[in-house]
Amino acid sequence: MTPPTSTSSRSDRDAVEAAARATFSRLVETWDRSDLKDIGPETDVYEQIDSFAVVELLLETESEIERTVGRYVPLASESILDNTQSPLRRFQGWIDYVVETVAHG
Amino acid sequence: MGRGRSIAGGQASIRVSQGPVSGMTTARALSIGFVGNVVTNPFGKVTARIADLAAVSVEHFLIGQIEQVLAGPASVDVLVVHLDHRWFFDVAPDEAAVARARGLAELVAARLARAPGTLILNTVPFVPVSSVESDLHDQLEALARINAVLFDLARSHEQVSIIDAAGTLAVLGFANALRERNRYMYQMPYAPAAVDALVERYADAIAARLRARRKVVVVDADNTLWSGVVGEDGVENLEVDSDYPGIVHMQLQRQLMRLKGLGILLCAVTKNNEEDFRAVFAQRAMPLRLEDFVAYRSNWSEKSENIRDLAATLNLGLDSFIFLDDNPFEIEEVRARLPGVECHLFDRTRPEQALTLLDGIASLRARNVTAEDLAKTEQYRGEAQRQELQRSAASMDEYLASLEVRVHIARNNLGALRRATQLINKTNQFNLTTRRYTEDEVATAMREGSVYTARVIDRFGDMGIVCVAIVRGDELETFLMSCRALGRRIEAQILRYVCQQEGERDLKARYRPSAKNRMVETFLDNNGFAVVSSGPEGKAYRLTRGPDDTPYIHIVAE
Repeated sequence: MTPPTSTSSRSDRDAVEAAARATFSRLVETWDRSDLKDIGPETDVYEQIDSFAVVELLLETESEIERTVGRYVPLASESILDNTQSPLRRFQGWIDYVVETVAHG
Repeated sequence: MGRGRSIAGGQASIRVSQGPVSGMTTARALSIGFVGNVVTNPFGKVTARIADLAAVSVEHFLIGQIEQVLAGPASVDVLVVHLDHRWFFDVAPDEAAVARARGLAELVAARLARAPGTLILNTVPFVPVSSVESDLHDQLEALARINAVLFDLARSHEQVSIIDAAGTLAVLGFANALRERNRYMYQMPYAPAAVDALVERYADAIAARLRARRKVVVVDADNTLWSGVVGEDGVENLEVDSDYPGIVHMQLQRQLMRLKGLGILLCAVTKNNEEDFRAVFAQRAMPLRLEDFVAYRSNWSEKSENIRDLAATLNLGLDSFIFLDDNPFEIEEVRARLPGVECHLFDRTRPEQALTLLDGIASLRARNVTAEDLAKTEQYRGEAQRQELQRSAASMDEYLASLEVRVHIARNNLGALRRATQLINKTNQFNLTTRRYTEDEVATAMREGSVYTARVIDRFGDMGIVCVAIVRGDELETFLMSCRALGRRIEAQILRYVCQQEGERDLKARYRPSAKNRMVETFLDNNGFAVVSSGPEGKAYRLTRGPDDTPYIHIVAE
């Protein structure tokens, strides 16, 4: 697979977004959190899960992205566990964060 | 920047319960506690790996609270302490790090001295680097010494297991297994694949303590122990040497030898004429010798039939057996007819898989191998050989005589006190009175009368002390024998000796019935004792002529 560059195609971005969503759905099952199953784009995920689940989401998403794009892209940043700036404050914010980080990573 | 959540120290301990998997019967409840200097929550996946063995509850203690948890009152069945290198040293392993490891070992030992349970530690996953070669050597040595402290702890404490985290991550490749940014930002250095691999090691370590280990590996011969078919190719054309493909089979034999050294019994089943099978071992130099097999079947019967026969010979359940064969049809035949047997295909065309097969069999894992385990191997081998001999003997008398049985009988031997007491308190079937004694009571009986202990040796091995008789006053208080020595008329010959030693008096004896000792109901009647009285409490006897002599069983008085 050719690694995507910063000018990644629409299909690459779609694949990354799908990977991020699939990872979240899988973890929701693992955590036995049916309340997060039909999550909306504006849902505040940060409020719904604890710090350890955030770390798990990060690790599992990194791993899924690596499988999808064929290279490891670190997703960790200071903002993720920040009360005000965390991309997890909106579910769609998290998805966008992953897509953008991979696109520019 | 707003306020952030903290991973380190900001988390109350979390308790998670996982019930048994639906439809499965679990034998026990098991609590597992995790503490470490990394986020341990992902290791909680271990519950799914051992769900068939226990209903598991998991508790995650505060990150970094290793000393507090070890010294504190936390009570769990299994405490997993996961430490990455930063707990031992900041930058490079050194003498201070070794001292830290020793301190950890002392804390663990102290905990185990005051609380039951299992404790699991890990080797340190770290690859030292240095711009100075001698410094690199010092670091490597210090790292090895840290791990050595942990191994010493496990050697001296049965309750301690050490998982090889360093080796596990090395197999994945440290670059793939470790996420350094996450280590520093979130106290979680492992990629999911690494977490899964470590969880598997934890599950193995816990399962090895919960699950009975399979005892026997039954292996096919043609195209498994060697390349070729002995009946068609001839002994001299079989390939089992240092060149491919013979080296694959040579390596398998070496691995089987290693398993034998770890307390596993080896058997063979092969569709061959017996003389052809034996000829390979007689004529070819190979790691395995024919004597390394406790038993084998070389004939044209179905392999399932032969394995069933081996199980009967060794007096072991089929769930103790593992079967290895290169032929998928044979594997399926055994799997279908003997579902308790664990079957594995030895695909010699894929040596990279075939030669990792044995090491990957979880049911062969054990915490350690005791001297007793190794002694049992010899006892099983001896028993199988006795049965082979019995099968070929013309008569029972000829068979018994060929065993060359010697019985070493000692009177009032304090050195045998512990074994005699153990035997008295666990023997139910061949036991005339089922009277139980403490070690002190046996010692008292030695002072007040005679405690005879009999050790049986025959041409196939030493069975150890298998019989105890206690005579006090003029009464045979206790007479018992381990079942593994029965069926050879040894018991009558020992009783004869005891009667000769004590028989000047009017020796009395008693049969007291229990739920399990029906097999000795007429033992005294058949061996020269006369019934004096009989009732619900059993039968009272007095010695008349005593047991007849069994001349081929030799008594050695010690």
